[in-house]
Amino acid sequence: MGGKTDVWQGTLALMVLRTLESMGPQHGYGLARRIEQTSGDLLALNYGTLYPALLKLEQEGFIRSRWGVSENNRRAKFYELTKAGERQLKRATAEWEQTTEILARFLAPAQEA
Amino acid sequence: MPKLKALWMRFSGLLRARRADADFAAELEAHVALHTEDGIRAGLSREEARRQALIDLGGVEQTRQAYRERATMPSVDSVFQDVRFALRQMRKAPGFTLTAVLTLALGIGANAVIYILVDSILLRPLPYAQQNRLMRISDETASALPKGWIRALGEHSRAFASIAGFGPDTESNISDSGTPDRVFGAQVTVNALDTLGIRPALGEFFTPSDAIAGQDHDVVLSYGYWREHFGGSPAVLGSSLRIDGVYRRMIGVMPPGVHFPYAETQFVIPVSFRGGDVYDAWTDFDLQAFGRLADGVTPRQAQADLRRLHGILLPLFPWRMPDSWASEATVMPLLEAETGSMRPRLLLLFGAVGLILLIACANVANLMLARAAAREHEIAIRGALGASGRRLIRQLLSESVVLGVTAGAVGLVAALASLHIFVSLLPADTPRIQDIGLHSGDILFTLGTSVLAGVLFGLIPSLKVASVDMLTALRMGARGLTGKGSRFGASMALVAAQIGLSVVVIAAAGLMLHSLYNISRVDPGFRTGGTLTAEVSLDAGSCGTPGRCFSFFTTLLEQSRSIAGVDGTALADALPLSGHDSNYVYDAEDHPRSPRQGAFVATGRIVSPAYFRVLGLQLVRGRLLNEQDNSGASHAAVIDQRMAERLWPNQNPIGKQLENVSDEPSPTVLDPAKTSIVVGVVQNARDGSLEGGFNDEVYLPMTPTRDSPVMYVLLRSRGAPEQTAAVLRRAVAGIDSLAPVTRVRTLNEVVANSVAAPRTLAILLLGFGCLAVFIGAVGVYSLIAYIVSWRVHEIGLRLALGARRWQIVMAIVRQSLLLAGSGCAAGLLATLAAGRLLRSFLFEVSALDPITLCAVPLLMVVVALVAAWIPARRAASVDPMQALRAE
Repeated sequence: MGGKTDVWQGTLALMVLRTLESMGPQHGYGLARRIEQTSGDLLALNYGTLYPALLKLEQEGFIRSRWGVSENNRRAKFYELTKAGERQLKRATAEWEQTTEILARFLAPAQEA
Repeated sequence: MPKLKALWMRFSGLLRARRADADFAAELEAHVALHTEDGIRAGLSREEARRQALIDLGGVEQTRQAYRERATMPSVDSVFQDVRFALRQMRKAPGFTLTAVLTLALGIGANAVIYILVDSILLRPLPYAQQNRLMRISDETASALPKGWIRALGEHSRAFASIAGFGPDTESNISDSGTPDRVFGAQVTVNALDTLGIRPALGEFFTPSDAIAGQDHDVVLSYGYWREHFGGSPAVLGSSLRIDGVYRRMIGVMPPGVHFPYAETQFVIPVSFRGGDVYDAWTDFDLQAFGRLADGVTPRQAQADLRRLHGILLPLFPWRMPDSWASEATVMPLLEAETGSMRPRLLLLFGAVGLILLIACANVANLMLARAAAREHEIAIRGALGASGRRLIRQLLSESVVLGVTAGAVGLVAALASLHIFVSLLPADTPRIQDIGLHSGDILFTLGTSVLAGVLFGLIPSLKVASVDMLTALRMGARGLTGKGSRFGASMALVAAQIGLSVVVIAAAGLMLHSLYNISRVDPGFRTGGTLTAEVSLDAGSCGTPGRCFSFFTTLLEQSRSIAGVDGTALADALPLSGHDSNYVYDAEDHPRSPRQGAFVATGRIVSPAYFRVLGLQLVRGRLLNEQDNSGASHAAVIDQRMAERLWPNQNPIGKQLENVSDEPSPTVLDPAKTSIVVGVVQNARDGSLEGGFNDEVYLPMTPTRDSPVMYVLLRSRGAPEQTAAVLRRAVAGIDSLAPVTRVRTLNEVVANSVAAPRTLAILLLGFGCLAVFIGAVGVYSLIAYIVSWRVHEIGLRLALGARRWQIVMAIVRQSLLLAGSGCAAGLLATLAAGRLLRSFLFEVSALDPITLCAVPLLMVVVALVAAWIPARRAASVDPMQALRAE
């Protein structure tokens, strides 16, 4: 799996929220695949780690789950964003943008003052 | 917020772990199936696709484990495991569990009861707004204050937001429904209830107009009285209640839980001022002061402010007051002032039950040690299977904590069940006695105590067990032949400590008992046997009609003489040792005083001539009072020996003059028209309390101008008290059907009642002492029995080798005595050290009282002998053959 990056600590939750927002309700496997695709297959997601992360988000009230039927007629658990989750996504997105911006300034090639 | 929510979800997740697990298994199954189908679609074989799906997942079991850890709380889960295991262990050894739980429950229960008392009486805030800002204002130089002084203080003090006063605890006749009733009430200044910061449960409190004489015919009821007598009906507001012959409008009801100013107060009436009368505000010295501190003022500052005001306000009196009067105002939190007298006693009891808990803990620690020895093998196997030392200690500690909490629950239930017994043992005038009850804090305290006790008695055994050399333990199997002398070291020390602590508790109880015995032997100075007393009261205002009280009581006296079986009848306005006496403030012949000095104070008692004969008070000089003195013409007074010797040492006191100056406290030239003349001296009699010394005492005849609406009848009679009382009631009803006869008691009961507080303390301490000795005895017994059972084999061997049975018995008993001896020595040392704390409770007993300090070790030795007896006999009856074969 050379060339792929592991998922950074704490970013998986943001990815899940964002993916749920754009895709609507989705089951765990679908979410995992979608996150990989979105990253342009650059991320190596250990699917097993996704489920505790989903559980944590559910315990915090940002997503909820219910059993449903998948596109190919299989019973699966679907996750969807809650109102609190939408707010959390906005907050986390803003924080993340700020962080990357700050880091970008440090990492940009030095400019002559 | 989300974090908290998540925590809660995880905690509750513990309870539905199994279902959640199944749910997640299904979800994972769906995941793998979906992934596999994708793989097949991409051209892989079914097997290969499934393999790939599982690899990408990172393993089904691993994922489930990670999920489970997130779903619940692993640390809490393992605590649950420990608790379940502990409960199983407790079920497996019911005898041990029962003994341990009961012993501990006794200790914890005793603590819970006393804590409930401490909490209810000393700790709980008074039911007033910002009650810690309420201060009692007292003064050693002025036992009571006139209303004008309180008003002046309130107007001038900047340290207090307001200052109010309340009068003495008095009983009044209330006759609303025909039958006369004696009900406790008190006067309060109109701002008193507002100063407390309480709101009426119904209606309103006093307004400033209630402070004006003539407009003050209002009354505020206590919640309890309103509920009891008016069924809690709001309709009573505005209607009238006849209190001591005066109709008063009921304007409001105090909130529930407020007992003000006294525990037994059922109503309050306003203190009012007569306008235009300069003396009115200053002549009655009958109020106590309290106040609410202004914002940001400390009690110390407030006290300084009051002392500063003293000199400024003193000239407000319409006459010259002594400078020393009310010059030492003290400011103290109201709660402390109300409960101060109970504090040392309750804390002493708290200390005693604390020791009992320690004894119980030592006891259970010993039981656990014995059990741990039997479980060595099991523990060793656990260790060998990989349990760490810390894990083992945690396991054992959770066992003891579970045990402690179980015992705590049992103890708390026992405490609640027996609480009313303890309350009934307390003296009736215990502050806040009707507020005593269980509060959530008490449950918390009990739980905390239980857990702490669990850790305490669990620590020694678990440390010992965890340090067991596993290899040796495994190899030894069940038990070895060798005695292993050191194996009982910790247990012996614990039992000795138990005995030591028991000695401290029982010695304290012994000292109290000895002290109580000394008090009971005090000669009150008068005869107490065979005399019945009863309070007969007219309405408080009755004596306003000149001669009415006098003629009523004179008639009563005459009629009661004819009651069958009565040898003597007397009247007095107050009974000795009853806690209610009037002061007689006076100037005396040969003792001129400057305006700066206060007048003399003695106890004044209005009596009928037969009083001396009924109480057996011996005449020392002169003559007693007689019927002729009742006209008032003779100005006669009788004083006691102490007063005579103090005022006129080496002189003849007969014929000397006294003048009551309470109405006009400035010094006077003795006016023969007003003075009383000493006609006789009688022997001293105890008056305030049996423990205190004698007081100066003045006996005055009841005359038409010196009478009281409330008098006590004293009947010397040979008949049964109940019968005599019934006849007395009929006699009183025959003269005035509205005059109640109350507080019918024998004089012996009155005297016994005066020592209620030390008696309660002695009884409770004695009870706790017995408890301590009992638990200690169980401790000695179980250790000796354990040692004997351990040594059966060895004893058998000794017997087989020719030892005599009595030698075996002696060896066992010697061991028990050794324990008792060392424990007693330690306990006596501790008692000597703690003696200082006890001294203030003792009456004519030294804290080093030789009788107590000898009796207690003797008792403990007897206890140790008895406790060792059964195991020793068992040891002696060991059959050598059987014991040796049992191996």
